[in-house]
Amino acid sequence: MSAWMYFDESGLASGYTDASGSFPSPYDAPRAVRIERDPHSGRTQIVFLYVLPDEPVVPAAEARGVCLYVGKDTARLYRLEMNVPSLRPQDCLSRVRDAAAAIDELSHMEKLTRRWENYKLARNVLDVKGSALSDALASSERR
Amino acid sequence: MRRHPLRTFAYYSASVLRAVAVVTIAVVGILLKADAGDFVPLDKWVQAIQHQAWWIVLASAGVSFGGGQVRKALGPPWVWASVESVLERFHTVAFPGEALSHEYRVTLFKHKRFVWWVWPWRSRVWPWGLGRAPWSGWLVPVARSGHTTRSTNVLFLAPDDALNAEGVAGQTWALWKRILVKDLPDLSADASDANVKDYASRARVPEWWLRYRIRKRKVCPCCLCGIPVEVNRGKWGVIILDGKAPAPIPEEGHFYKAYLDLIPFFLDQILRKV
Repeated sequence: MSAWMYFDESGLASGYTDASGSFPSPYDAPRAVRIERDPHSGRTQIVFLYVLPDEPVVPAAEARGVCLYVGKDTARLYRLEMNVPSLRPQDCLSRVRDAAAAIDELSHMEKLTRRWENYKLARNVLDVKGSALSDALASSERR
Repeated sequence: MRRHPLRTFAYYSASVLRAVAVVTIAVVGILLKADAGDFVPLDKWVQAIQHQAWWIVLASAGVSFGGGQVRKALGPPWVWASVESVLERFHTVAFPGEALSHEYRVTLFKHKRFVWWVWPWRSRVWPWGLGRAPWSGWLVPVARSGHTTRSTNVLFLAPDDALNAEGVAGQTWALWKRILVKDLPDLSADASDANVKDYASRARVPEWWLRYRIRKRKVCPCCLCGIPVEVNRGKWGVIILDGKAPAPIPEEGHFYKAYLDLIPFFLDQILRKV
């Protein structure tokens, strides 16, 4: 399991300021992200941390071999699980890109559209932190 | 505002009445099974209580229920005191160098489906405004930084038809986003028609309401920032920062980090109790 990678939420959020001077809700902006391997299934997961973290998650949809786990009540994106047992660190970056594309595809689903802004932010996190996540997985595998 | 001496008095009075009612029910229950002869010289009192027990228990149950409802409606005073102390701490971050005053404020609004009364009236014949009702959905101020402008009666319409939400508070509720409106005209210096129209359209408030505030010499802030508040993973209300100077609200950087560190988790935990 890698350590949480915190980032400047305000910078992340300000990327989506619209013309009316509005910003995403602070509850929708991830505060940190990390990558880990599930000890039972051996699948790799990307986990997002929010300001209010304690919410049960449910699997919402699957695309490109990536399963999206969203909050039971809020439908915020909490976890991305890559359905590839024993993902090699060198393949990680391409899988992170798949995960980002999966978010794009699935955020248009009817049951998920109400949180599209949260998904855009999560997508942005993967774009910005993709290679850092890949490196983090590689270094945690070496340990 | 929820932190008010009268409300505190009412809360603790309701608590005491409730406790007395519960003890009364217990005592009457015990005395019903007792032999009055064992209580000489109070045997006549015991007999009287045994004869009147049905309505004493009924009345006590009513008082206990009523006291509980009053306590629930008011919320514990210590919760509101804690919320206001955090708002004041946040005020020092949001408006560095500005004293706690009526010109720079942090206000917490709660969304309520029903309000009994609005002031000023929104139409001549119907307080809530034509086409609106007490159950239209309103944002009510519950806590504020500072010790002034606490007897506010400002309410913002936050209805289901979100296009008609009023003010930055209503827009924040409707869009569930952070909203920043800067550089509004200073109406205390120049309340010309053009300025009032400009202010009303940018802050999304009715012109008559603005003119009422100007007439009453109430604050019309030049900068407004609305932030949603979630409690228990549900939409609870909004925080509004308002400032007198043209652009004192830093929307980014350490202000936002301080907000994240101070407000969401604390409010989520403490407002579950009210």
